[in-house]
Amino acid sequence: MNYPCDRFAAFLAHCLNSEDSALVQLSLGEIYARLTTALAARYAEPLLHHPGYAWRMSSEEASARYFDISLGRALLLSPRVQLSITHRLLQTLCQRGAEVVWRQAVVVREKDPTAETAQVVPLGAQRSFEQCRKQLAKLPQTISAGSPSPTIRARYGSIALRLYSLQAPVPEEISMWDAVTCAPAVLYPLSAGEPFNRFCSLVIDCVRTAHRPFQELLGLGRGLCPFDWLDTLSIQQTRALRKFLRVMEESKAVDTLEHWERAWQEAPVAGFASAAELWQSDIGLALRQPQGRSGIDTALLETAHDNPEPADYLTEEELLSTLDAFLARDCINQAEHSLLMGLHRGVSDTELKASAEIRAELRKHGGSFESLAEDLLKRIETAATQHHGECAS
Amino acid sequence: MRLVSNTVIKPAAVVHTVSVLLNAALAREDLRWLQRLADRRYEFRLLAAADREEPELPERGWHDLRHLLKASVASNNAELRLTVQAEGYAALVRVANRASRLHSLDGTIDLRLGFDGTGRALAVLEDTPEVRRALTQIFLTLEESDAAAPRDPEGDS
Repeated sequence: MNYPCDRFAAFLAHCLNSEDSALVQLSLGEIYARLTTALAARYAEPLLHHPGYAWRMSSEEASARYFDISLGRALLLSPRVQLSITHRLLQTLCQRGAEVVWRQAVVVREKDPTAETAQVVPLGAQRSFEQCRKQLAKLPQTISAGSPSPTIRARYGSIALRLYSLQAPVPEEISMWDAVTCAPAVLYPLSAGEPFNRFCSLVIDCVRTAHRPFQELLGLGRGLCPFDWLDTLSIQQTRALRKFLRVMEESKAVDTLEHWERAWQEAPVAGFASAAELWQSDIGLALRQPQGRSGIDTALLETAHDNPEPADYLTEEELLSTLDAFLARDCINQAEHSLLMGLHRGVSDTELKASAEIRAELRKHGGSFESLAEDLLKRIETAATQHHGECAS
Repeated sequence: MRLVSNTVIKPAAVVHTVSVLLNAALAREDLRWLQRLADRRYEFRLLAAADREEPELPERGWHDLRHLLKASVASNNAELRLTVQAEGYAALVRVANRASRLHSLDGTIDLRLGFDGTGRALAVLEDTPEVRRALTQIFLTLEESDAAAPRDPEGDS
């Protein structure tokens, strides 16, 4: 399933890289401006669903607020892991530090920190590490209510960025943007192909996680402006409300208190004593506004949070054998096989478009790469699921 | 037909990998599109002085973030006359005789604005606190001309 935020995440990954330069200078203001402009101008509809609440705010305001509540949101730790995905992003960015020694940087939990003094860290790297330490020290140390962090910390120690003998404390909850701002300011670039794609895969996982609360609220539909309700409704309430509204939709009932009471029997909403209380509440009133009813693909939205586990990025061998198998089964054609392997290996757009078979494939989709990509991804998903089902049976 | 033998497929990883490949390619197109958009988009932003809660419109005018255009306002009979002027030759060749859209962050201002041959555009606005506040962050986007029209990424392939 193509998550709506994946393309924006890939855009962010490109902003944190430069295939043409010897080094990548992380200019935070420029990256922020690029991201918010892209959100307002390019992703306002597919990602922010801005037309649904355009009556409420401009796309520029929506983009700035989306940045704060997604990329700027400190992520809660999952009880199943010691580090969050944003800690992994911080580690990956640090390992891209311009000085070679940064390759050894790790973000780890340490119960009894023991300095590894054997390795001398060059002066340049010491200076850039000091910058990172200063940035990390500015971050809030807040731990959200209900977070498993205190338990995990008591068991495995606190989190630190370590580069041999150098060590900097890292907060338990950091945002994607924190990871970017606390990374070394100068990075080495990732070449096109697998190195960049693996990084892009990590950024996509991060953005999917960061995007989820916004996605949940969008799932309510009805023209609600998600930004108005983020601080009011908990995730549990939002999910319960979605179930409640689904019951209403399935019964094709119009909004009357009587119909709400009937739906309430099947799907009560946490935080409200009765359907009448929900009906009278601010959110109840907003849900009944006539400007609502925007069409959002709810199936897509449901998948986005039902499958939160990060997936692996395949090795070249795995990808090649899988695509060969799909080709043998006629799930994809030779042109699509070449296209995907070309993208995996970092072949340039110009070279790919020079291929007659790929050009012919694009023509079939009206010259639109977006349309080809959408169609291809759907077929790959179907083929992968079918194969999995066959193996299971 | 069965799949090629000995191929162990991890469905989630396959879909994820293909999604990464395709989205990275689409986003690369978006980046190029944005670069072309940035070339014709100008942002004017005012910050509040240390002793003020809200920014004030400077009498001498203020520049866009790239220092290519200068905006200035004159108040007259409950009207605000907003002038946008190209500063220098580089700016003039970009905007002269071009149409543009001017809008504010909060959506209060949203209008079309035409530049003349000297790189000057004029708009008459209501002189209200809302409009004055809206002017503290405005965007001017040149409309696409036939010669310099940035193509949509979907049409690039």
